[in-house]
Amino acid sequence: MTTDGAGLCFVGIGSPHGDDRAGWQVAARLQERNLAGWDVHVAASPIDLLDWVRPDRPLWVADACRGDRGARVWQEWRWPTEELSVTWGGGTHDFSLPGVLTLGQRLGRLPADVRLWGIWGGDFGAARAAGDQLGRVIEEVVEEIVRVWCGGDVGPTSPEVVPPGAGHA
Amino acid sequence: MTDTRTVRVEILSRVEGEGALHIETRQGRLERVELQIYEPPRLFESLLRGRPLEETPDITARICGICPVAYQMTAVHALERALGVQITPEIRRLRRLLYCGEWIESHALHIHLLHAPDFLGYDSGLAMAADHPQEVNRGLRLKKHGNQLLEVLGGRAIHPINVAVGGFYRAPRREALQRLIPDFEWGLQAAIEATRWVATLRFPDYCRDYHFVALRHPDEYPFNEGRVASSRGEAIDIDDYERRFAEVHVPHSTALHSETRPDGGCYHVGPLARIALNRDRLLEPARRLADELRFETPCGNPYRSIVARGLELVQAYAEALDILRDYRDFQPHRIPYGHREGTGCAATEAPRGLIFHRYQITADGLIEFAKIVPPTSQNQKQIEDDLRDWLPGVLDRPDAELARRAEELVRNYDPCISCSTHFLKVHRHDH
Repeated sequence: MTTDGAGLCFVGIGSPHGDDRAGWQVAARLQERNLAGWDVHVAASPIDLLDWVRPDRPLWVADACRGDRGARVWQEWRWPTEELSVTWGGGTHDFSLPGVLTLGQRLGRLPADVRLWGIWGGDFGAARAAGDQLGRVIEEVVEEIVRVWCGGDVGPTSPEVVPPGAGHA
Repeated sequence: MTDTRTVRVEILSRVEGEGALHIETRQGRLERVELQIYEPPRLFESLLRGRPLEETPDITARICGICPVAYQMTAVHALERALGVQITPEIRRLRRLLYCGEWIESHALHIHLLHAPDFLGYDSGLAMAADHPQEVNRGLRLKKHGNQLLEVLGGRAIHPINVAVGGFYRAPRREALQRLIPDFEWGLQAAIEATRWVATLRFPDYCRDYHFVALRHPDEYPFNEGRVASSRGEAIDIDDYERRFAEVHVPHSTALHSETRPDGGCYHVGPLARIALNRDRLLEPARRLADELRFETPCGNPYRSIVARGLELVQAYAEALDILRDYRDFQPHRIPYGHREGTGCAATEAPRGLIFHRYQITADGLIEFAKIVPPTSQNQKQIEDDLRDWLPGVLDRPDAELARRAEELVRNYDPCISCSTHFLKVHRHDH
């Protein structure tokens, strides 16, 4: 799943199981928007994002997450942030999203602008349907991502700058 | 506190499954070893019932995000046998190419990021990357080649959707495959270098007389068909698989254990078994490398499975290049068929070992019964047997070391549910 151009690499991570499909659905909605310069992919494991990441273009990622979320249904982070290890502690082959991003950084593959959209899910059971609310949340996240992109709030940011994650109920 | 020691090892991984290890000793002697695995295939078998057989490849691909091709390929072969469909040589080669992609992706990842850290003293591939960036980058690049092939052939890299009963929904254009050749030429050389590198690692001096089981084909290294051969000299038709191998319930695991019939023994599937039974079928680059490295056959040291995986990585690149170079656009890419009542089974070779499917279909093309036996289920009993054999020699070690070394032994098998470097986490209880 790839659009033309190479202005931004977007990766939706997920699986076909329950709410875990959130990242794939965000990627699919963005693909439908046909945003110029976007290179959109889906991955089953975070490690796959290293197939496409390049230091010279921003990397944005969407993935389902779980844990203590309070009233939030989705949240945005900028990498690096310690919060991620709580939210995305596990992963296939033990390659969690934070672990893969750390690996990418260690290998000099990460761009300065790495953003993550986490969508909290409840049921990740094998072959289960997505939750009733997921569709609405996906649309919200997609709108926010497009807003950020179109608003020009993009481009290289210092990896040292770690703004607090904006929570959304 | 009594003389009973329990080492409880447990972690639940997110998608592929759950694994835990329970080790119990009494008076300094090993009393119980249980590898506890929870996998979803049972659920998928139920899910398939009543559905049109045409949905089977896409549904079975979702069993595993790491080896979807093995699941869907075994499914289409079994269903084609039930339907009496004969595919063309062109379709068959394209399917082998798809298998090459999956083996490259899976083996490259396991060799470089999952298994090698065990021999170099690192906790993870991430830790290893700091000191061995070249090797890790090589592994990631090779893995990417596998995904690229899956994307071109399967429509996408994850859960490919182009595989159909009778062939492919769409055949790739020659130009799309030709574009991969330069990368795969580099990949073949890189795979050879990677295998030479892992052959230099220091392996524990541990050897077993395994009952190896793998497909064997008269003309080729096994991917998609052959007789079920064993290191005990047997070679049976796929139709006889269930007479020779059975799945049994064990109390400590929701996954079924496979064992031989009638003796209830364990057996070993995967790269070591395939090479043990098919070394003479390796293509020239892989066979020459096996000779150069003096890779013994059969090899009973499970730690040396990393070398066997390397040889198979070379094999997959060599075969992929042959197919890519020869490929011409062809028709038909899908053989038409009619529905009929029947039963069909098939076995293929997933990266982790032999995988078996059997389906019963109705006259109107619905799945009436499905049976799926993944490689990790077949190795589960063998893994426990290895642990029972090996643990008594290291029971005097501290829990952390015991757990780490048990993890390493398990990881030799690249179990699909939990290939992670932190597969096992120890909780010790002294009664």
